[in-house]
Amino acid sequence: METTTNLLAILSLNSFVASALILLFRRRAIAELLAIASAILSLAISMYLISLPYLPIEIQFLPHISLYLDRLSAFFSLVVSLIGSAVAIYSVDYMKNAKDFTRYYSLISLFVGAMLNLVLASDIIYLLLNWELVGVCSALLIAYWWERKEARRAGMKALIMTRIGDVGLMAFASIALYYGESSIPAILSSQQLSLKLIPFLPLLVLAAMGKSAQFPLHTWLPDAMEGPTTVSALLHAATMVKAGVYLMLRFYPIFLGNQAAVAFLLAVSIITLYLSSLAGLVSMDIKRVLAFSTLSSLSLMFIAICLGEFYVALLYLFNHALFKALLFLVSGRVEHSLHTRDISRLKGLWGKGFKIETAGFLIGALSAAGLPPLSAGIVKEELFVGMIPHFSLLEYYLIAGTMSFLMAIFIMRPFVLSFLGRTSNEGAHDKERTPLMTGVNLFLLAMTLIAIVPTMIISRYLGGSGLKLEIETLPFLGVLLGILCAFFIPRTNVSISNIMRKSIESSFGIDIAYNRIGEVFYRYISMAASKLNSGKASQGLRGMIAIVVLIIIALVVFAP
Amino acid sequence: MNLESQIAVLLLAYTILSYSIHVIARYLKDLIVNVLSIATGIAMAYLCFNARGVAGLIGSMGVLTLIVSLLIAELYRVERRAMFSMLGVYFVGTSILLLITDSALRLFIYWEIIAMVMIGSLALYRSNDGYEAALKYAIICLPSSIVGLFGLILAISETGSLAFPELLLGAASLSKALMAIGFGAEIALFPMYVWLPSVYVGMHPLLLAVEVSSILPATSYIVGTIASMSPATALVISSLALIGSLVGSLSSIVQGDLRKLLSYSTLSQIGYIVLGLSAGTTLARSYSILQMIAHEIPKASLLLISFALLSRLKTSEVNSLSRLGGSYKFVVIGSALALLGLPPFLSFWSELYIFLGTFSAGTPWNILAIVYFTAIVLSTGYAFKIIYTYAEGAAESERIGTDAMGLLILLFFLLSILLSPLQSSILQYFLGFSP
Repeated sequence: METTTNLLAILSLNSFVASALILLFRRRAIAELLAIASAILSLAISMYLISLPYLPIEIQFLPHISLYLDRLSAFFSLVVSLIGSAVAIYSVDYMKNAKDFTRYYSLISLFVGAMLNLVLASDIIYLLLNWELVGVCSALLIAYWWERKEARRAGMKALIMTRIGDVGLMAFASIALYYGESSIPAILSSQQLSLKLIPFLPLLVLAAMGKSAQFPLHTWLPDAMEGPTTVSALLHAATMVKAGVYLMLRFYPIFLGNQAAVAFLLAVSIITLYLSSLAGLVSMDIKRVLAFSTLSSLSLMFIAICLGEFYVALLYLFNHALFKALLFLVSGRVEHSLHTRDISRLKGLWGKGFKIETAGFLIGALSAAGLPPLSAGIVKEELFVGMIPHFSLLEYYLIAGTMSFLMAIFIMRPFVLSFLGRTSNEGAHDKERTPLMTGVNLFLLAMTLIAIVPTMIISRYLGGSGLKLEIETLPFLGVLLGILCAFFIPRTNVSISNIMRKSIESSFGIDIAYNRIGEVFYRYISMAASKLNSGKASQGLRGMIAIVVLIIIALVVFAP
Repeated sequence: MNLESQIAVLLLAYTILSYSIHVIARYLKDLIVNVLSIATGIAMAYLCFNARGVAGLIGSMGVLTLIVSLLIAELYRVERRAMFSMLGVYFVGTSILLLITDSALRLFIYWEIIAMVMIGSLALYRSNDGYEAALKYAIICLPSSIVGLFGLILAISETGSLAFPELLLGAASLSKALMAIGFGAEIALFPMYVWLPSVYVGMHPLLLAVEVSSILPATSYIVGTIASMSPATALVISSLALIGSLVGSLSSIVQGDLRKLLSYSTLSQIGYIVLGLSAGTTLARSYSILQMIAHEIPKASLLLISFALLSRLKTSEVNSLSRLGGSYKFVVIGSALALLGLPPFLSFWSELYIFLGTFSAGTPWNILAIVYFTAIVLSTGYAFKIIYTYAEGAAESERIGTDAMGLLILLFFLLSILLSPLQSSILQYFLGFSP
């Protein structure tokens, strides 16, 4: 038992220590080594801890700083450290020309460490601390190339939008403390306390919406593509956006008690899914398409949670981590070589020699589309089966059919346009050797292909009944039709204007409206507040006299 | 001899010695007075630290900031260093005296000494900005302190006691309100905050860093304590402080000068501290005291940075921040995030628990807690302005890298991260409070 608690403590701290050491030594080889070693150490410990038969365990470091390891947190630790390790290794090649490598590796380690502590937090205050830390790290990593205006804006946007959601968690934590309890296991196990907190669950939904980029707080995620692709992979596959899903899963035992919160999250998720699918269908930036795909995948996870399909949400999360990391890192390899993300300029990548990348993107895209027998497809079918009792037949067919079709066509479109077709002369494939990038891509490709095996194991580990391997006809046909239609896109002459494209990408003007609100806020409200100070001393004096007079009058009038 | 007498004697001895050195050592006076000031500071910190209490916490941190400021002043040959360091010592010394005195009369005397030291600091370099700021400060704060004195006299006459803060228990609401409002001008309580931006521009940034670490927390503590003794006064003062927070958060966004931006940010932060002190719960009160140092470290760091800007680039425009590279980069971004109350900084804990402590005080405090929260969210604007503007010019070449000043500021700033996991131990040691 003592070994286990020691290992848990190491798992919690090792990434933080690595982050600090990287800043201290400031040498490339040491930074790379420390980042990789700490991620692999976390992975090894997570693998050991997940195999323990005597979970849950809890350890306390300081007041409010304590860890809790149960099957859910062990599963999340494994996912975070697995993707964290892949990204750390891949970064060696990807970031080899980066000058400010210390900042990069230090932040990556801190990011992974914060996410690990978030999922291991036993106390809601410690969860909140790491929740905020994850937000700060992601903003700083998104703005990593901050000499670029877009990167700066994207980093700021991520922090502002997620911080709006953070208000929810902060308020919920405060209310929990108000009722005298901050330990999450204690909150969940006390029926009396749970009943008191159930009315405040919409606050947790708000927090999850911010972190997991759900409508209307979703517009930061596509812009977050301005960061390095490794950061996008980490952010989308294992950290940050998954924090919202984790929060809902952690409070799942009481979440379903508030039907208003469930209905609200369900509606928000369905809206996000359609908006992101439409945006993905018109976007010409390969990474933005992947970002829209993440939005729709997160929506699927939330839909599963709302419908009471706890295990389906978890299994889809695992599969999504694999195929999304694969899609991003494959795209990162292409971008690294050709220095563009524009789908219209990326033609015939297969012909240009990106064989592994083409295979990787195809498998990743088919998984994202939800095509069985790929594991993600089977899990998605499970979700559709779970939907049946909650909707009328017409609603079910409408939602499941369109959802399947849209998710399939928009993720397959960049594959068809960029990887297939005739090779253009533009951007010849450079011959730079990137063995670590290729190695990681091959590993993720293999993992995505055989994901059904770990998915089955995880399903049983988490106490689920295993996958039923049922296939729903209409959603399946929707997926097939979507894939088929995607192959016909190059043959059609359908095109839309840039204005329309921007409008759809910005969720029909929501993003533009946010910018306008920001401008109004800056120009009018801040200016007005600033003008309150005339700069004249007499103003302050008059203010003081006025308050004294008012107080005297108030005391005379209200005095007993 | 009690702590107050010890500190007073120490300050008196320091004053005599410093003036003697001024007269005798004509050429080395700056260096010798600086060394003497550091030694006096360490002695005060030793006495305070052992005495614990609020004075222990504020005094120790004030001395630390003083030492960093004096070292930078010595390194960069700041003009009139001897006078500069004396004013710094008076800032810290009188703040400690203000916090430990148990006499209402002496409290007022220390209060007026502080006002004189402030005016002296503003006039030190005989600049137009300094004179203008001194005038504004004097016009607002000196009449206000007379109102405070009037309240104090009323309270003394009502209770027949000179003991502070005990006399507040028996005093009428009017006298407490007059004291809180009158003395509130010193902490730039809304709407008497007009002098604050001018003082931030007029005072030397190194001295201002000491002021932020000593006078500001000490006076805030006194005003908060007076306010907390009467529910009606507490509500009025907290509401005014929160209006100040909102105005400060919003106004700071449009400031082009770093020092003005920081002044409005201070206005915003004072509101948090006063709210927590007035709310009447031990939790909010304890974390308000912690917030004093949680705010002080990043704010003083940014003021030291503004000195780096002024000494190197002869400007304190926010746009020029991007010319600072190396360790300055970490401090600028870290300080902005710390002012936002984000982890891993100490302010994360203090801002969170002030909210919780205030929220749990019942109605109408929970409404004020929500306003407080809004002010925190709005403060995102100015923190981002600092980060964004810094990043905007990052592509420009020629940046000032890490140097001795940068390292000193970095070491000082790191305290806001290093003290973060120790927050409960700090409160336990100094205030005997276990979260």
